[in-house]
Amino acid sequence: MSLAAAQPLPVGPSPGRPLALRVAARLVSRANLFWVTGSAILLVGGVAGVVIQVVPSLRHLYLDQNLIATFKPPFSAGHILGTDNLGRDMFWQLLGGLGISLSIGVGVSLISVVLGIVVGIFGGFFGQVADAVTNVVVDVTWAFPAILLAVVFAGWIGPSLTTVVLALALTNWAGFARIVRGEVLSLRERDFVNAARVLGVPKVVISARHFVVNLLPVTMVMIVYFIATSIIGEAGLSFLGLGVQAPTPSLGLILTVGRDYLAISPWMVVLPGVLLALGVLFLNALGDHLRDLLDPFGRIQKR
Amino acid sequence: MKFVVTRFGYAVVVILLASIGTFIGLHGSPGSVISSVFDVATTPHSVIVAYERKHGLLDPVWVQYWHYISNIVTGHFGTSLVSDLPVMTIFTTSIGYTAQLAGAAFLLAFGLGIPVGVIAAIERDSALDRFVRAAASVVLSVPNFVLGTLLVLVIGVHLRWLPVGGAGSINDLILPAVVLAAEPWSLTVRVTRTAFLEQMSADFTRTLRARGVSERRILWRHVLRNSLGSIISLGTIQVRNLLGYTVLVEVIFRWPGLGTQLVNAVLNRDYAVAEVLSLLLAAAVVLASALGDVVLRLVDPRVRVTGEAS
Amino acid sequence: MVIAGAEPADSGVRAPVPALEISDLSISLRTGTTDKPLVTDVSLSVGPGEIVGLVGESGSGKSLTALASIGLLPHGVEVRSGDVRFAGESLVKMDRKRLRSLCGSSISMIFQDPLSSLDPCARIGNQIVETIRAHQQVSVAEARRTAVELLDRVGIPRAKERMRSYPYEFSGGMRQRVMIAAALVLRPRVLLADEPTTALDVTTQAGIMKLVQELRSELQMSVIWISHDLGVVGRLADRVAVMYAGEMVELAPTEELFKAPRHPYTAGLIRSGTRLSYGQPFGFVPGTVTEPGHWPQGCRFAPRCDRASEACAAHPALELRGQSALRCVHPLGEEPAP
Repeated sequence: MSLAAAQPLPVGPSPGRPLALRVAARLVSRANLFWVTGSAILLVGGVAGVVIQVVPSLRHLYLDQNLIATFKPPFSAGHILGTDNLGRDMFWQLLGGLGISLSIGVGVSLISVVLGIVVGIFGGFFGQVADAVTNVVVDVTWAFPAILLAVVFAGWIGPSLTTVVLALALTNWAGFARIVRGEVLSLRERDFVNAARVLGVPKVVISARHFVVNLLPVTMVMIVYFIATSIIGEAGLSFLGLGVQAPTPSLGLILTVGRDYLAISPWMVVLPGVLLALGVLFLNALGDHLRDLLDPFGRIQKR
Repeated sequence: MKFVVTRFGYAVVVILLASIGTFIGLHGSPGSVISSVFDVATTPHSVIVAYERKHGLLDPVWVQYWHYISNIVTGHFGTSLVSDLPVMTIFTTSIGYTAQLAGAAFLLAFGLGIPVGVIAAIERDSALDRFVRAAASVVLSVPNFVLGTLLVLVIGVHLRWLPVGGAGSINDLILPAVVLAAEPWSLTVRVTRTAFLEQMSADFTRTLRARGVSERRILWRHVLRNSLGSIISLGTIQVRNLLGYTVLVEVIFRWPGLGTQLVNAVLNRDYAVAEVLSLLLAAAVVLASALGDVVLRLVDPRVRVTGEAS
Repeated sequence: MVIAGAEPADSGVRAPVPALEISDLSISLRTGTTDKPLVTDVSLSVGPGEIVGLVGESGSGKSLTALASIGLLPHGVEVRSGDVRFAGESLVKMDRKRLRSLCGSSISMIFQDPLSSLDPCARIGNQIVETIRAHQQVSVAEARRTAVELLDRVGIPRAKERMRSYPYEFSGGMRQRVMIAAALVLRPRVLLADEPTTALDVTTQAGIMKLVQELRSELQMSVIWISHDLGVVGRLADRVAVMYAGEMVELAPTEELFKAPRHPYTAGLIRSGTRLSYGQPFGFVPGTVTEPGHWPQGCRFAPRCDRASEACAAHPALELRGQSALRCVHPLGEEPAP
């Protein structure tokens, strides 16, 4: 029997240490040091990026313009990564952009995941009608690729951070809902579910207690992947002008502005581009790594 | 076949529902349209009202929706609020370019991706295989607009090997198509490789060997056919992604397709254009998905029983 | 050590040359630098037209023995020593091209689960045609005609129409018939059948068994029928070989084996499968098979045997007695040593 056909590992109310603790313990082990440190750095950078935007006295770091010192290359005096077209410091711009990317990423992932779980369980466990309805809703959402959704939202409420969050969240949830539904379909046939239902446990409780717990590994892996896709998504939308607007820093914005000045200086394109690529590469690899740890049977498809 | 009818029928239902979405999203309040077309302070009221009447902006919402949907179905796409060009013209002039770009990217991605994936599977764990897998990972991680912009920088500005704007000749197609094809290519390689490997170790290959069938035939006749199911499923998803990413790539390379028109329409608050084009794009995605399902059913007999490819 | 070939049960002609001869075959699994033995010193000779049943628990090595004979051992598993000879040629030492030309035409194998063992994307007619054309230069039309005839012969109704069907459109029994058809279309001399009826219900099972018996007579074909089900083997085989923990422990003509089993394991197997009359206690063989790699130096069955003694600490040799063989120092029918 191929591994792909194996049953999901039952987690349920388990003896011994709670799942979260066990996962944490494995994560912090020697072999995973690289991933843990890298994620920590990313996290610190992101938080720093958010902090400088939120704390008023720090905003000058990325907002200060200096029109006589534009397009400075990296390692210039006072600006370790150079300046942009308005003389703003690239390092702080990039950090701010990273903060935006990560906060959007985390926010979008959480929304998608919660929506996906709720709808997926609803469709998979609460009867035929519920299933049919969820399938239609999922399919309709599916008709709008991320960018199209963003276009629609941008048209509706105008380009902004909210537009980006809404568009990306609604793009991701449908795919995740499908995965969840698939899992629920196989989980609901398991004996412990039947036992609970015979005992009169309401479906909602079964869902929360058993399904969600079993879905945690899948969810954690998908969150990481979603953060990666959201970062790309936000950058892409801002790149098009449909997302974050100046003066909020965004890697996509820097990239798109930099395009117009390619002949003068490549740094406004290269720096955010490399940062984006590295960040996504790391996150994807982290997701793969997590998947190997938590889901060795390969039930999760990345897309 | 009954399945084809029901599947496409369902697709139509989905498109209709999607149209509600595009309508609500993009019909917008007249105020914003007006302010982007006219300078409100200096334009006489009568001109504005005449404009509103002309574009049906004074009717109740559901009437407007009905007009919207019935017009689209009958092919009356309306007029641009900004340029006064018929939307149909905008559509017909740009759809060709988008089709060219998306088509080229699709061909590149699958035409190169499937053979590479198959070879990687056959030469499992060799240096070639590991290189291919690493390349796919890296390509997958670089967002296509980053890749596009960097390529514009390196190849267009510095090396001047290829043009990076406009759509005059076939040369103009190369860079955008490559950038657009990058991500689907990596996914195709991965999926093909995995599917092939899985089928290569399936039980039926043992039976075929016990009958004396040659390895070559087993591989190219039997294993490949059994792998197609996964590949086609992937293809359906990729069409959706391609249609989405085309928008991005068109903007980067100033390719005059549907995508650039749509983005400009939204940024200019030109709802007439935006509504129609976005619905058409969504419809394309839905129809592609339906087509993919039909093809999948044709190719993989197992689907008819279980409803999904193994 | 070679066991003399048996005479076919229903033929008065002496057939001195065995159709398939397995001698001292040892197979092991290579992992990294270690070699784990899976099958040791199996010897078995199958006469023309004879059905030999090969029984044993999972892990006894019966399937591996058959797979080795046809050159289909999985990756990492290799023949360590011994030989399998067919028509005077060594199958083990043969080059792959020659072996491939024999597979399907002179020696065939059928497997347990016909659903996963048949290419789901290939029509069943094509599967048979493909086998024919892999070995013979015939036209497609000709091959199709033969395929239809054969499908008819194995009991597929409306054979001509069903040629275009896919495996999933058939029931388990029908699928197995298709497998048999494809395996026998070129009239092989030897058929290896690896648990062909284990996945089928009893009635279907009977049908397949009957089919194989008929085909054996028609084609004068030798069959090694592998099963863990003694009942099936008892009804079908001329002789039965019992395997335990990678080696052969007993071999005897069927009736003799069932009436008077000599190896304690055989006796235990028979007891646990026998229909009980009311009041009789369940027979079973206590304990579980030891894993490959953890086999004791002495008799491998000793840990589960109630007749074991110190003499069993030395590995018993396989003894010949006419058409039978036995690997035990305290066989039933003789008193155990004090």
